[in-house]
Amino acid sequence: MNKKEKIEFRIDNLKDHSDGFVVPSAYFDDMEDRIMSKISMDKAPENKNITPWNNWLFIGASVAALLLLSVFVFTPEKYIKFDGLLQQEVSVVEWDQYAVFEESWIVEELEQNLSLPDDLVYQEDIDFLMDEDITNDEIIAAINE
Amino acid sequence: MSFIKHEETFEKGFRLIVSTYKERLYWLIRRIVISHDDTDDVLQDTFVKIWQNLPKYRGDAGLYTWLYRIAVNESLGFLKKKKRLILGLSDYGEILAQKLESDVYFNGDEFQLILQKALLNLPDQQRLVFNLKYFEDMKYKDIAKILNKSEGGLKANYHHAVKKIEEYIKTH
Repeated sequence: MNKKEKIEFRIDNLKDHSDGFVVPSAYFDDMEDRIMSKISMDKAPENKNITPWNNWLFIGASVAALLLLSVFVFTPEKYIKFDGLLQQEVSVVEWDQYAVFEESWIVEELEQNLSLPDDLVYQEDIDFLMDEDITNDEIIAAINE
Repeated sequence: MSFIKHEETFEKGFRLIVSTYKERLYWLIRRIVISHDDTDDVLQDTFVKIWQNLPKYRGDAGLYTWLYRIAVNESLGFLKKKKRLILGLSDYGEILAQKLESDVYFNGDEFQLILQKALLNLPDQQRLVFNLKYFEDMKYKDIAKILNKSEGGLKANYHHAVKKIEEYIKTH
């Protein structure tokens, strides 16, 4: 048994090729009609009901919203509050700790994602892929895809 | 194919394509998006796209390859959209695996469930190649045309997929 057959043999041994999925009964029966009705619905022009009344209502609502917004924006505050700023203050040491943590996390992630599966070091797998005339680039791309 | 060349018989030709390929495209899509409801949506969108592009079909690729390519693109696009909307991360496969356990349209035995979970653990490209080769029993030459990839790359994809599935099954 050559290496290719060995691979096929292993996967064939998994079980038969059925997958366990089922469909509702009679699902395929009227599919042509359902597809045609979807196509005709997609083709139907949109019925946009734009009336002058709607336009005036929109303009009026916009003006009211702008007036309301200007009341909040232009009302001066008597006191400047520092409580919020104090709560958000983070020391330089804490920032450094955070940066070190994040860096180590990124390195860890990269190591995990870039590491090749252990089984790839097996000579027979490498031989199999080489026998199939698969280039190095294709093998690497296939791992990452 | 002669039906779709004339405007008066175009719909008849299209209906013929739907009735010929609906089941094959359904199973292709189902194995990618997993749930029946999502498959129904993607299948309908696929046929709408086929309807829209059929007048431009020149026949240089086989009809079967052309239809499969549209269905694969629609399915992968659907998965990408779901991943972006739901998580923005790549563990959408885990969600699909959980849904599969309670899916009324999945009646596979314990082994088939583990096999599907192993498949959902694979990157989309490897899962797709495995599905086309293993379940659809397609030749690498045909898969290469559908996915626009080299046969060597697909063989490597399939090989890695098989290894990962075996490893998953051994440990679960």
